[in-house]
Amino acid sequence: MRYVNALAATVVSVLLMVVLTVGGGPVPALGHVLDPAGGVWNWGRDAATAGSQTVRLHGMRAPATVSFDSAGVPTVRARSDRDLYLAEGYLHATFRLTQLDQYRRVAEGRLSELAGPSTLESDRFELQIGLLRTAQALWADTQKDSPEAQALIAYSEGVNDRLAELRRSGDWPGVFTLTGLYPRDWTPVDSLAIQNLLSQQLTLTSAPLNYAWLVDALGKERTMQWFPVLPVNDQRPYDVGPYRNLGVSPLPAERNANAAVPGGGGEACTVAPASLDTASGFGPAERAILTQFQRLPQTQTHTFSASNSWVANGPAVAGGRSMLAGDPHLQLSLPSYWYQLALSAPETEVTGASLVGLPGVVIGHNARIAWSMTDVQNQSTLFYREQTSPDRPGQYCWQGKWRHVQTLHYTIPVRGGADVPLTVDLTVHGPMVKAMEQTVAISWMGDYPAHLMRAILAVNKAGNYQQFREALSDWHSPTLNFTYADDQGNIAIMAAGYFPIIKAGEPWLPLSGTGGSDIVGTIPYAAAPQVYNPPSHVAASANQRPVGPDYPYYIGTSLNAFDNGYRADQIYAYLESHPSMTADDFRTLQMDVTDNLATRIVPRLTKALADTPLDGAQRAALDQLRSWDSRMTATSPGASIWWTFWSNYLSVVFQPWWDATHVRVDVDPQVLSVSAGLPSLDEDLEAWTLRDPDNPAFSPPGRPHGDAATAMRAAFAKTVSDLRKKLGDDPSTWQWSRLHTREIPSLLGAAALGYGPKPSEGDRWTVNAAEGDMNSSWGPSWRMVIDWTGTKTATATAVYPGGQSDNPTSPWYRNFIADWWNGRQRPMPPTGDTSTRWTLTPAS
Amino acid sequence: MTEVETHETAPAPPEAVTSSTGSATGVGTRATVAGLVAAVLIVTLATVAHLWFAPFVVGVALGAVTRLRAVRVRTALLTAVAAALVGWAVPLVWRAVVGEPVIAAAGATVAVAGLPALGWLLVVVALLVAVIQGMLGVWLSRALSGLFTGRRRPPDPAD
Repeated sequence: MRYVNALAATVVSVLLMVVLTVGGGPVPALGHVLDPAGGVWNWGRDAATAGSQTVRLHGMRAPATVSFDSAGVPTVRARSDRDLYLAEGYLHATFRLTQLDQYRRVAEGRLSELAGPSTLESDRFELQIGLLRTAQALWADTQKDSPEAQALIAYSEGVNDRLAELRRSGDWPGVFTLTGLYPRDWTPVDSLAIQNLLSQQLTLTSAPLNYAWLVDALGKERTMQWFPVLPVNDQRPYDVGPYRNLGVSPLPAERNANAAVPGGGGEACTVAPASLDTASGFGPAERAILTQFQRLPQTQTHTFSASNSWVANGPAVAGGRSMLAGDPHLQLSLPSYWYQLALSAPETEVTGASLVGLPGVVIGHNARIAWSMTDVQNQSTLFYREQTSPDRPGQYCWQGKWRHVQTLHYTIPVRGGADVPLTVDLTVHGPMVKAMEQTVAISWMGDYPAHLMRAILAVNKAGNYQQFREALSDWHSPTLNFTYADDQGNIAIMAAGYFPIIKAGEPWLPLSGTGGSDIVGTIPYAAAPQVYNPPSHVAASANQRPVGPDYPYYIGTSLNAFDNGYRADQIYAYLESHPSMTADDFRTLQMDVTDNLATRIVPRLTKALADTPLDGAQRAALDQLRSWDSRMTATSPGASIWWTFWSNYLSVVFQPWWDATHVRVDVDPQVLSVSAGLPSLDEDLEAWTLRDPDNPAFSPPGRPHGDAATAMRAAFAKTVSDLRKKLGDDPSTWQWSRLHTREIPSLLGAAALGYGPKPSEGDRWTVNAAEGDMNSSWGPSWRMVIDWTGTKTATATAVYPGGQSDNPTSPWYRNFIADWWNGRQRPMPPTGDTSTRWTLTPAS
Repeated sequence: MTEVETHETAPAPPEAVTSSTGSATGVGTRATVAGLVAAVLIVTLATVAHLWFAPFVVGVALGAVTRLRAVRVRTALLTAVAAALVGWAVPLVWRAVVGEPVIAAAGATVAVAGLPALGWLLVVVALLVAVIQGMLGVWLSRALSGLFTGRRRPPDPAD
């Protein structure tokens, strides 16, 4: 018995100590995790707001200071740019280390090492699309004594200084202790990979495959009628022309970091384009790609139209100089993408939003100029159907010769599981997917290395429009509209980035990979959309198509590319009706929740219902609509009726066609389902309702002849019925907030560490945008207004939904949310108490 | 209160240990209290030094010492539990005293693990881990030492 007792005690003790020391499977090493002197409790220690202290940093050349305001916004003062960016890296790593590590893992395909098998799809995708390869190629292409390289190196040193501190103290943020995985040293390539991740989020789409899918079902003619290249509704481009055709700027294929080097080629091949064009139907590889896209988190591909920015000058602004407002829309998260700060050195004086992982300020102002940005949303992704042969495995036909597929091998470490091998095949067009007998390659502008850091750092120092434009000539992907206002009263909006041009073919559909439809170049920078000091004294970008129908280049279509222009219409309507605007006016406009489409459609609806017999609830609902001011306020019943009506109206008109032609939406419900999320259908229905009420689309197959009024009446009846079921019989109680909420999810995916869902105003088309589903987590990720009141004098305010720290227990984790939610902004740079000061000194 | 080990076959009165300050029981009590204080101190200081396994080590030591000194296992266990609890609680309480949001940190951890963010739950789990370590240490050392001393000594009825 004694032996049994001893054996049992030994076995249980060993098991317990093993679990506590090294963990097992998904269970972390609980001894380290729960260590009262360290462990996850250090999250609480980190939570303490920064106190004054002296910090010794390796790599610093001279002392610098960091002053924090009470909300955690730092002002860095250094004697050189190098020390400035080193301090910025140190700050990012001190307050956003968990986020930095998370972004790096996503971008470099190592998330599963932390999160387990659930994120394998993300890692496979990123290794295939090649953000890391592009970052490595870009770094290799960067002169190491250039300002961008020096900034990236200094930034990395700052991050690594913080990592070294943590390695010495063991006081890691809780997530690292919990997982037992600690970050390796930071490198410039990591920053560039994160830069590429953001580019991917803003520009990578599956639109050509969606087109192919629709063509398969609806037929090409109807697809192009309903999803045309140019929108059918009236839009307000910021560049109204005249336009110039300046030819094409070359973009050599060998610059694609994720394409195979074609080499001299092998034996001749016979091109068989018939098997590669759209008429051959939607293929299995394309389906595989769509499925892969659909499985990714929404933050990893371009999902929603987003961002507003506008400028005004001269008589349009109270001071007579210029003003700028910017609110880029992204997936909201805690912590935010942004980290607010001010940087000051002899050669740099800039304040605004930095992007975690990168040096410099991405959106903000310096002593002379202010800038913001919106996504152009032009087509940046092309798909090529490669010609292969079962007789020639591992080869494809390009430019008349058989070429070898280039193969790369990766191993993905998986937490709690075995490593997963991955093979990535590249053709001359990019990474390829093969399924059954079809091979499709993805050619994405983000695969072309782009010196964005060079551009950002030069913009930070620019003193006038010419320098600003010159700086952005290095900006290639993501393609963005940059808004500009300076202290001399000049304003501008200009698009920077690649607009790919192909030799021949329809780029919105999958293209033949045999060489005839290859990218030959891009729209020359000088011919890209732009406006400078417009006669109207106002200009706005809200992701609408930036140019009119006469623009001589193809830039994208109405499907999953440009916004339908309702936000832009509302912004222009406001700007053109408010002379001598103040910064308060701009802030008011940023919070505007008027649904511009409703202002045009609701009168048509009430007219259509005028002579229609209605029951009591329908009459009451109609009364609500008649007295509604088109504002999507939280308390408005009219907002609920309008939004439900528009969704039903789309469904009444288009769903019968989808059913009759068997459009299967399961491969990509986000893009293919009939909903208000499909800009093309919104634009069609708007245009037909206003100008073409007898369009044949109102008479689907097998149904009696219809028109817009008939469809509106049916949609309204369904709306009242739906809302009665959902919200009760009394339309006066159908407040929008009962249907609509906003949420700011935690980056770690923990519901308790996020914010909301909370009842909220706005919809996807209001200036104060709430994009996505009825529980919206996309919207203004940063709001900023800058008013130039004199030479080198500006009053600037900003706010973002979150806080400066990624530590959930910190008072700086979500302290900006209340201001953001209520439309309040904070002075930028901070002007309040900045008595907390760090002194950064060179370590010996 | 000190509990003296009894012998099955030859029960004998406990050896009277006297001193100038008190009776045998008093001395035993003082020894127990001293042992408890020492154990608490050791666990606390070791824990502060990131030696999170201190409750187990101290438990092992307590098991061995109490076995050698023929002290009942219950005493060893209670001492180990108290040392583990206090030794792990002191650093946590200290954190709270200096203003660290201990419960919030625990809540964040539990939330990341996918559970409702109930911070106190993790505090309880942490203290439980300490207690289990201490108890296991006592069990292990007494069980192993029983192998070597069992033939020379009668079994401990409390084992």
